[in-house]
Amino acid sequence: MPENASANLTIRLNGDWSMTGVTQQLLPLTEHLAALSGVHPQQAQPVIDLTEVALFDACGCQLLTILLRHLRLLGFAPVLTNIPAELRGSIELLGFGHEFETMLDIAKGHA
Amino acid sequence: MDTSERIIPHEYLTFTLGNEEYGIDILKVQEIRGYDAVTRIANAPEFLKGVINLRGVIVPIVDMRIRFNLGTPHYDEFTVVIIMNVLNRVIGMVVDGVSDVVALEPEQIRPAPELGSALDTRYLTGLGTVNGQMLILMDIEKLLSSDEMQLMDSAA
Amino acid sequence: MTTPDHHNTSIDLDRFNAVFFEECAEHLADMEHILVALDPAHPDGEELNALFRAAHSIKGGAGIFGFRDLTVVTHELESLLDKVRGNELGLTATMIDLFLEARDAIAMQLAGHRDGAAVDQGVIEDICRRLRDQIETNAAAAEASTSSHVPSAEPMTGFRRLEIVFSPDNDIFQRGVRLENLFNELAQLGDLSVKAEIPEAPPFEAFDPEVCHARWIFALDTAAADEEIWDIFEFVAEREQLTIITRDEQATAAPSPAREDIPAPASTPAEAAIAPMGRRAYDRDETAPGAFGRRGGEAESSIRVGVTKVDQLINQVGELVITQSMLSQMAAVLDPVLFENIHRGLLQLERNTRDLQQSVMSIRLVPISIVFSRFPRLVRDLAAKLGKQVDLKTVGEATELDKGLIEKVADPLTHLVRNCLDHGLESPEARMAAGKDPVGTITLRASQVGGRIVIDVMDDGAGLSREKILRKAAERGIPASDAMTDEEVWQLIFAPGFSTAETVTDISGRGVGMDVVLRNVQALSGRVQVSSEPGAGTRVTISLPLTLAILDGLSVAVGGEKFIIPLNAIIESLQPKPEEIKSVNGRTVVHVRGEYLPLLPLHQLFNLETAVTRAEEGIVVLVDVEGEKAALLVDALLDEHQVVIKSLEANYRKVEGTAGATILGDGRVALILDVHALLRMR
Repeated sequence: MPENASANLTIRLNGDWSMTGVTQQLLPLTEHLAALSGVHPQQAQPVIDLTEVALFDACGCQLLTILLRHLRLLGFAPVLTNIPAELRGSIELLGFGHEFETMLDIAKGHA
Repeated sequence: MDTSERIIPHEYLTFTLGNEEYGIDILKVQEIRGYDAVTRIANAPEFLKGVINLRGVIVPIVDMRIRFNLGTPHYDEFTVVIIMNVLNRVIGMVVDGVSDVVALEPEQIRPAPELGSALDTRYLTGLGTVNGQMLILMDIEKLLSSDEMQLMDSAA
Repeated sequence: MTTPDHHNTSIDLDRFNAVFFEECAEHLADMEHILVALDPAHPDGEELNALFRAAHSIKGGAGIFGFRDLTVVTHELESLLDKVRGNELGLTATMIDLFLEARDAIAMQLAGHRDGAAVDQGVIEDICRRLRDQIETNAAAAEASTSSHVPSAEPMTGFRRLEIVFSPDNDIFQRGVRLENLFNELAQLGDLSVKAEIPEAPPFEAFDPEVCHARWIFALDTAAADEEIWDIFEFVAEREQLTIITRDEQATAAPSPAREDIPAPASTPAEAAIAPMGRRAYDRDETAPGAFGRRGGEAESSIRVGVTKVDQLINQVGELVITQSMLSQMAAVLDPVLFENIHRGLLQLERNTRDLQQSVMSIRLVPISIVFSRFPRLVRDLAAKLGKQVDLKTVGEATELDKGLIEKVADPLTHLVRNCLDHGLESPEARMAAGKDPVGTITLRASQVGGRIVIDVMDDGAGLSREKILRKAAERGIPASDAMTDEEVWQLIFAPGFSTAETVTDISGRGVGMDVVLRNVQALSGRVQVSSEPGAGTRVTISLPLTLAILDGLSVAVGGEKFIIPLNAIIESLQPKPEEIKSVNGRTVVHVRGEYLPLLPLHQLFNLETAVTRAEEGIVVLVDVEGEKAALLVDALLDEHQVVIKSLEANYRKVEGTAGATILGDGRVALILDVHALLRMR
């Protein structure tokens, strides 16, 4: 499915990205990464959509950071999109804004 | 959620008691095993054969053939016990033999008539027909939790 | 002020919160314990420190776990305690009462969070106000009387730009620490910016998202002293995990006059790394149990494990014991010489299994002081209410019993202690008139007697009144007669609906007393006994099994079935001679050493067919349950076992005359006899 003609590969994150749920996020993430494995980094840009993320804490921030680093390591230039306002607040408070800043496709939060 | 309930036919484990063929919801069945020696319980009704050790758990065994006067109960190597999980309890039921697992569409089930079975209609969910043969569907949960089975301490 | 978002996550955080609740309850218990014993005239400095620490720990934990309301009362309490322990304010009896009330208010809030119990905000506000009043009125008084005290405020520090580096333990997420709350607290101190760094992380494939690989660097413009920052991180950071560096001194506030307060001369602003400020004196034993999931000494000395895990372990060991005894049985037929190695190995296995079982069982054992410790407060409050003077003595608090039992024995004991106060002890005037010390004594004594735990609740009051009990019994239609022995008369107070109180009070309830005590204790395979002497007092004795899970028993055969008789009920077994069997009033008795014991043929009680129907053909097991003796007739004695008690009720129902069931070495189920109930069955 992901390898359609579109240059954007949307990775939809959802559910519990806090301490209580991060381990459950690993399997879907591995599947998303597997879907990217045959894709040439120049041909597609992963778009990580956070619309459906319900809970997000430092643990989730860390996992997202690691995911983004991993994608960049593979040569992709991921972007983040649809970050719910409260998530943005948590990210700033927890000091992860700078990690995600360059990947925001929409206006960034205040520093 | 409700729709799936209607679309997917229920599966029933069928078994014989005397000359009658019965069915219970397969989801209530934990396992099927042979009849072992039981430890008798004093002053219990006759149909309560006693209790057995099922991997460290103590499980009561009832014989429905005695309870409902269905044929002469005998115990040999073919006697089968259906271990059921009902209302968070594990209970074994002695039957003459286990036949099959059948899937019944709701339209294959009719309400149970007042007469025609050894069991009170209160404890039946209905009558099914499989290959022209009548299947009496037990409401095992209601039956085992009924006061007359004396399997549970009454709330009072 | 940012609202913590814990309402979103409370369900998922339950398991973390549970630890906090438990520790919070421990702190509250400690506080109560100390407060009740505290002498307002000569307060012990260590105890005051301990009180302060308890309040402080609750406040800190509540902040981290997002229970803001809990921090409010604790904050006021802590402030007042801080003044008292610093000798700025003198301790008064009123203060102790107020502290106790504040403790109760916090307990109420805790119950609100933990159990959803109602919280009376009026009480909370009232307590806070009164705690503040104490500080203000007393401070004013102190100021007026003496000026020798240095004003308590922190030395004024100017606005500074601090750089704080926080490198937490990598299990900080798993400990349920909510960094958002922590950082919010920090933000209260000034203008904060936060930067998380993940210097090094494993590759994605090997990444464990629950392990923290991040550290945080804060820039904080603040007038706050380093101490305040330390306080925020108190429960999450060790000394070496937090560094505070002063980057810039901005003299926007008062120019710092009190520099001498800071040990290192911080004159080179950019580089002067002020080492982590020394923890306060009261922090020194914070690695002791009670600090919230802090690493260090505590981690090595104890771990918290869910009771279900322990029970699972106990069950599994129980299965192992059964398997082991099954193997021993099978090997018993093997030639001891040819199979010497197998026999030796099995013997070793049996020893190891038994040791393992004992170790595992001991995990569940806890000292009874957990229950006893609640009584000083109860007695203190009730005595004041009733206008009685009471001295409470506790003996044998280290006696251990099963955790499950402890929880269930607390209510009956509470009831008995209330009874002592309300009905047992006389008023000081009445005591003096009777030539007794006006101060009554209630004694709680626990000890292990054989395989049982015996708990005595004693008072030196007026004793039970035979006449009053008989009269009351007659009024209530409870069968009784003047011919009854004292012991039988005392037993009447356990009849449902019996109450000897002249007036119904709100202390001991309305006659739902002793019968409930008896029922509760019996449900634990326990027994209750009463003895009393007019004018000298009353003693109620509860005896309980050490644990609910294991029992030493003798297996006996009756008509093809096996039963287990609890070893602690057995006096001896014998084969009676025909002349020792007598018939008295149509009942068969066995004459043993001058005593006539009623014969209870088990095959009759349990409706079993057997060839052995006459006492002289079988064996009688003499049993004694709290002075009541009988002879149980069985076909044969089989073996002694340590058996794992299994519930019959889990899947079936209670069976009369039994205390459960067990699984024998051959895999079959055997019923365990409840001798006490058997004596009632005949």
